[in-house]
Amino acid sequence: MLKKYLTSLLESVNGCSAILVYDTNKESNPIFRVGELSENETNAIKQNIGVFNSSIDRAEKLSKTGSSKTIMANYNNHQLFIFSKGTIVFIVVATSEANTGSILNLKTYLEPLVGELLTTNTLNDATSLAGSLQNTSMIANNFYNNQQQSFSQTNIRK
Amino acid sequence: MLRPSALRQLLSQGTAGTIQATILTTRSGEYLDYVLRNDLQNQSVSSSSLNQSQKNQINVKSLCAIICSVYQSYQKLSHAFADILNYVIIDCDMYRLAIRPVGNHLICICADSNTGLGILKLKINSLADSLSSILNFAIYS
Repeated sequence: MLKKYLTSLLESVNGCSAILVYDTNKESNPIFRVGELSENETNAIKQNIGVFNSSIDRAEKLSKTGSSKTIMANYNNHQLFIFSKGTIVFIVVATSEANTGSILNLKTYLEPLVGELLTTNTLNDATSLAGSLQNTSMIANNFYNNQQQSFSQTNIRK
Repeated sequence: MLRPSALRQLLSQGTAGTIQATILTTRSGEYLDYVLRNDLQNQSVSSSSLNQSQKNQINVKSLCAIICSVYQSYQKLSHAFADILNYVIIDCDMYRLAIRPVGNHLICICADSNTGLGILKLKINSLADSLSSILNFAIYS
């Protein structure tokens, strides 16, 4: 559902190549990735996600409140937009011909997603935690059963 | 040859309207010159204004460090994109910063948060063009 919404946002702006959604706490993979990017570009963004996070941290030092920040980097053939709100970071990649104003306008549509993304993330965390707890309880049970068996065997021998 | 008086004049020309400061730094973060709008308004030198200017200097130093590190981060990406970085704009709740390279230096415009991005882009580009002639360096293109 969210992916559909992001795709519709992406298609609404001419020259917009991709929208990536990252969680700063989980640096490895994007939560959502919409649009087409070349392998080089994908690798470049993946490798430099730490760079984005550190630049957002530095920009945070300039602002008094922890409100949303935007960083725009203009290259000869690309435009890179980074919208940050809380722990969620939206990265928009566009061509140099794309309308900068309409991409900045996407921010108003992307920001309401933050709450939903955070709740789904915490839900995922809760389920993974529950899963890991179940695993540990199973291991503990097995361990306990083995211990009991060995104890009863030693008793029988006696 | 570097002409400090001409440099200061040019930087003060750019510091008008909603623009609070114009800073020229090296790529490693040491500032060469800066002009603040408050300094332009209070030309008379008194003990209180001296204290204020010392405080401003500290702020400018820390600002330079932030500017350079952010710029260098995005410069790294330009290698990966096989592209050339023109300028970076940082939009915070207090300021809007525009950073652009001029030869081996960086020029930064620090404006109010309600300044238009278009005017910021125009100013940084025209300032970089004029500075390149003063600094006698070719702009990276």
